[in-house]
Amino acid sequence: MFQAAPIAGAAALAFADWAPPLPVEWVGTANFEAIVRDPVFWQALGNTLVYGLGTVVPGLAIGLGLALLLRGQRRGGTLLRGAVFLPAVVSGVATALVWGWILNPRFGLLNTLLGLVGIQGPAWLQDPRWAMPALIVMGLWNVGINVIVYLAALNAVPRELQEAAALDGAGRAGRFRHVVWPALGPVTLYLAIVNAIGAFQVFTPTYLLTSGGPDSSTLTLALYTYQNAFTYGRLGYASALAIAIVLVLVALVALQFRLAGRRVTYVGTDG
Amino acid sequence: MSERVLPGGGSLVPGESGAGSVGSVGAVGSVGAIGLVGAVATVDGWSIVRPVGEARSRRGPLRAVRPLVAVLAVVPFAVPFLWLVASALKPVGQFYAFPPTILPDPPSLENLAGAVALVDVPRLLANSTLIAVLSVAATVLSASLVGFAFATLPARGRRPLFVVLIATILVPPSATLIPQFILFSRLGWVGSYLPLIVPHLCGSAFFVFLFRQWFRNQPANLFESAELDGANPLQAWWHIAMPMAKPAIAAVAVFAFVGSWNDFLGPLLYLRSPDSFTISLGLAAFQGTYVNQLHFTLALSLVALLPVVAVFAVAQRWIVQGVAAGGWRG
Repeated sequence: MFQAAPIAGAAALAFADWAPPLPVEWVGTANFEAIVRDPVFWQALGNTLVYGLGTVVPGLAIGLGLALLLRGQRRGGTLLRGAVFLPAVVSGVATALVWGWILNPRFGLLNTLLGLVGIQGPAWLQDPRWAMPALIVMGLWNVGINVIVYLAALNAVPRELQEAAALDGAGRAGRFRHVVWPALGPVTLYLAIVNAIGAFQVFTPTYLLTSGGPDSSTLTLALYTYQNAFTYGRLGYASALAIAIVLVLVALVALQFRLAGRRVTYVGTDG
Repeated sequence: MSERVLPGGGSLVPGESGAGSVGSVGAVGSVGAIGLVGAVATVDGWSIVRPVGEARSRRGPLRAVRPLVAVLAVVPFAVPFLWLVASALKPVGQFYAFPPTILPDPPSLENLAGAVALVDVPRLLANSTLIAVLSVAATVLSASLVGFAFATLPARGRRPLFVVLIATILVPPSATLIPQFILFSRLGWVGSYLPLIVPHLCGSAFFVFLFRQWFRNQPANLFESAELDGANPLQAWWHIAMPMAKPAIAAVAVFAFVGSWNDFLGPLLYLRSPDSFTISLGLAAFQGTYVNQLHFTLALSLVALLPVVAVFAVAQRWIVQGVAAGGWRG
């Protein structure tokens, strides 16, 4: 509700050419035509999609795997869940810088460990081929939110259903496949959407550690929009980019709903 | 995690004491996003970390190995923190030793002292604290009031409004960034803390949702009888609803605090004078200025993380409940 006005503002500005302090000039769809012809936009879109795919799908799998592993963990379960969850809660400038240090080609922990097993590690964030994978690993470090949501969802799977399935002779795998996993459908869809939106917002690590480089290999849409608006002062173009991001996201969410389709069943949602 | 661990391996969180549950969302419906959020929130958010007994394997070998696997799986999440602590405490000679050493020998605060000599760290921490505290107050007051209204007022059209509210969850913040910046520039607020605090008065949909769920799960006639007794809705909210909502308030407050403390883009856009910087922005500026003093930067990173790690340690229970209720977006 309170966000509706700014969104309308962004939509309006997207049709303007505005580089303050010059006056606003309405340019119709020129900004969008420029976006379509802008190779940097396509590269940023590609990078963002790679980042999204690289974080969302493994993030769901790791999240569910850890949740299954940590569920019912008696001794130290609180501590383990806390350790998994902490990165997501404290993530920001400080953790980005810590990762920059871990990924340091010469003094970094990662390449030191790789060296122990005889692998000469790449320059990570300074290597166009490895910078994006490094960012994806940093993103996956925040998977704790998925773990917590899955833990909650697992506990909400109606126990009677599982017991009934067990009585019918279903083994662990069978119970998971036919009872637990279907019941997790809505939560998985929800996480996929929220994670995808989050992936499209990634800003701090790219801004701080790579500035979108090397060779624009980590330039994401969020960073490109920021640069246009606040570095180059092209507010109209940046607004059009913001709208383009929303449109891509809407398309992605629609796709996710479609993929999920009738496979998502709502079990026990009547509280 | 700070829930009390029960002997049986479960943990006790508020819902179990009968204080109410974020559970039922029947009325939210199942239209698009609403259905999803509802589905998550139905997860009985306030008593979530209780494992189903069935989860424990009956098979011997698996049962024995499982804790070990769990620990090994969690190690990668902890290592960056441990490496940060070890690095920050290393004397500069060991910091840049090649090959690197694992532990500082002896641990030293010289990096921290060096960083503090270059930048006014207490000032940065004080700025962050001030902004975070005011943001928390703004968030809790506005979200609880709106949530209370959605939960209790029989106003016509409440439901479509709520759908719109929840739909804003799906709008990425970057879409509103530029118009907001223009608005605050016009108001002359750039360079002040106002753009970092005032927007919280307009409530985040997740927090409103969390409060609404909480209030809906209180006995329905409670607020009605308060109004029969002559209390207006504001009084019912402040005197009756709020004192009952302490767990929800705690969850929202912790979220708002952590969100404000971690925020980087906001301060980056709106703060101009280094005296006014938050610890996040100050840290980013520091690493930009002293590119070759990474040992100082790491010490400062540790300082920036400690308060929020402390909050997490104390408030993990409420954070977990809030997340489980759908109250977090990454």
